[in-house]
Amino acid sequence: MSAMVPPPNDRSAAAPRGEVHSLSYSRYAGPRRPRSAVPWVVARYAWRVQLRQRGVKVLLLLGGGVLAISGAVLGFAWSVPGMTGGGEADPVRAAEAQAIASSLEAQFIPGFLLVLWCGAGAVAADLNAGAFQFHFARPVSAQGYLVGRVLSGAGLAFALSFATLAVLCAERLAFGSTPLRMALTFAVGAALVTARATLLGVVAAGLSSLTRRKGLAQAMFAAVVFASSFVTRIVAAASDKPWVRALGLSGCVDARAAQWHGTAGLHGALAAVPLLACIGWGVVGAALAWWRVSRAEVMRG
Amino acid sequence: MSAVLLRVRALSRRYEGVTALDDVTVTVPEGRVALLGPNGAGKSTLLKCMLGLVRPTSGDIEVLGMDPRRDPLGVRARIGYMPEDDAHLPDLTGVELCAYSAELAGLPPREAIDRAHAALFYAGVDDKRYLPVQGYSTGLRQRTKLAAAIVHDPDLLFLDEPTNGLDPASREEMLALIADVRVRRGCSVVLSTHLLADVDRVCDHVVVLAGGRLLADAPLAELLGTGDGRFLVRVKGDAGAMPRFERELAARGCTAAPSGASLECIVTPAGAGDTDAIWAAAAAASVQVRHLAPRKASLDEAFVKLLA
Repeated sequence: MSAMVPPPNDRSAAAPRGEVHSLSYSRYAGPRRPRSAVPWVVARYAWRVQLRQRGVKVLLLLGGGVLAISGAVLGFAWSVPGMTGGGEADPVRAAEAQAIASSLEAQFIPGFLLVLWCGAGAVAADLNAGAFQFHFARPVSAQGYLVGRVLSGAGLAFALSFATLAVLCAERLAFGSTPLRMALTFAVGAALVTARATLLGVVAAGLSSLTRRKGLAQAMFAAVVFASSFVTRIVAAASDKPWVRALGLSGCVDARAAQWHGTAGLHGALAAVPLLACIGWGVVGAALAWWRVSRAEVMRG
Repeated sequence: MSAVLLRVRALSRRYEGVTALDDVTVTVPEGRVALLGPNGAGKSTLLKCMLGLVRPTSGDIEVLGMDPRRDPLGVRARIGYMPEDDAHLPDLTGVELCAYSAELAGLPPREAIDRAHAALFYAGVDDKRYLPVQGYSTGLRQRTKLAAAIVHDPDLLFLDEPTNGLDPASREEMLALIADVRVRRGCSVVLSTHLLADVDRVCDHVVVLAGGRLLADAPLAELLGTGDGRFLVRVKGDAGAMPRFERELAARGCTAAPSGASLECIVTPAGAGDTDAIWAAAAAASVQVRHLAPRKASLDEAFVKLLA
């Protein structure tokens, strides 16, 4: 009698003899992850939902297009000697600063729109859907929830800017920058890209927590970003005080980038304005979100 | 003797000008416990205190041997909560919602997705688990909420009106699931509901609150009592059997009251516990006694009596 040979796709044949695999609901005795992982869980599931939305896909395509165009244009400019940074004492440093500035400026509109779409209404939508009850009846703290919402709101915008920075830094390596200098530029650029995305995410979460209406929260966020940007630009130009421009939500990070390059034109005590503005926006956004979330009615009745 | 599930001592919670809980002291054993009371009784506030979402104004509270004021996240990790209202995340499917719930409780992603499928299967959610939750029917949402509450293997389950909006068949299935969770999984259940029939069906201990004060904290059997001295009698006979039987009972000093069924009545004997007269009346009326038992109060009656 010949031995029975199981077919190659027979999973039961691979299982140890005598072991019964139950798919029914049973007690769980496996490992549990620390509570510090909660923000990542909140963000990961939000990203999963975001990446299914057509609007997000369109914005990511837009950001990808901006990345490709920036990479092509700057790559071409850097490949032609004297085309950029001609008037600078150190054209290589000027080109490196350009890589950072382009990562911030070129991706500002796609990044802002992504935060507007993904982050500016997130807490409001949660309030409306009863998701506070879902989260806070589980081992989720208000801090963990908020960090997760900021991560999910600003994550895709950060990814676009960071990818642009990485591509431009790689190009700079090919066009004359030394690895050490490029590593420094990349580190500074990464910090600024992170700061920009974090500030947008925190302010979006703060404003989003003020209402249950997602559309209203998004409108408030757009108004704050553009009003702060336009008003500070107009006041700075009219009063000839460039530091005023650094008070805006987007202007404060741009000013920090310019300070690194040495073109900000802020001296003495005014040199601290961009950093203080960054801290101020972050603190106000976080305080607003914390104040609202920690006082929200979690369970109705 | 079963372990203590919940211990509350002199617990009070006051909001601005309103006392939601007033000096409540309760010791609840493991098992299936009903939290009963009219609207505004303090049930939700007690649940919030147990979950560590609200700090009591005064008093002590202990859930599963832990203090929710000191370690609210630790308590919540061991509790599953099924809310009355819709509590889901927009655009997540049933599987994702349950896996998300499991991951928030600390389960690794792979285990979370496995257990999400197992919990949904257990709760009776079929292929619709792959569709967004906001498109579910009421019954399916209730089942999904139950699955999300048990997916991380809690020691204690809080169910807030779990049969709300369910049709009779779904309600029966939900009650059977609640009973099974305790019997086969060893998970204690606290059921907050207005439906006394649900309590009668699945609970073995009852806590009654009204106006923030504790009215009762007792096993269900004790609350219903051993009887009120009356007997429920069911007889078999022809069309005139019941009137004959009632006349014979009256002749022996007993009082018969209708019970609702045609050949059934509630008999108050002349002497306490004296069933001899009932048997004698049945023999005299030529009816066959098919059922004779002390009549216990229904939970509705006990509840109304407590509130009064």
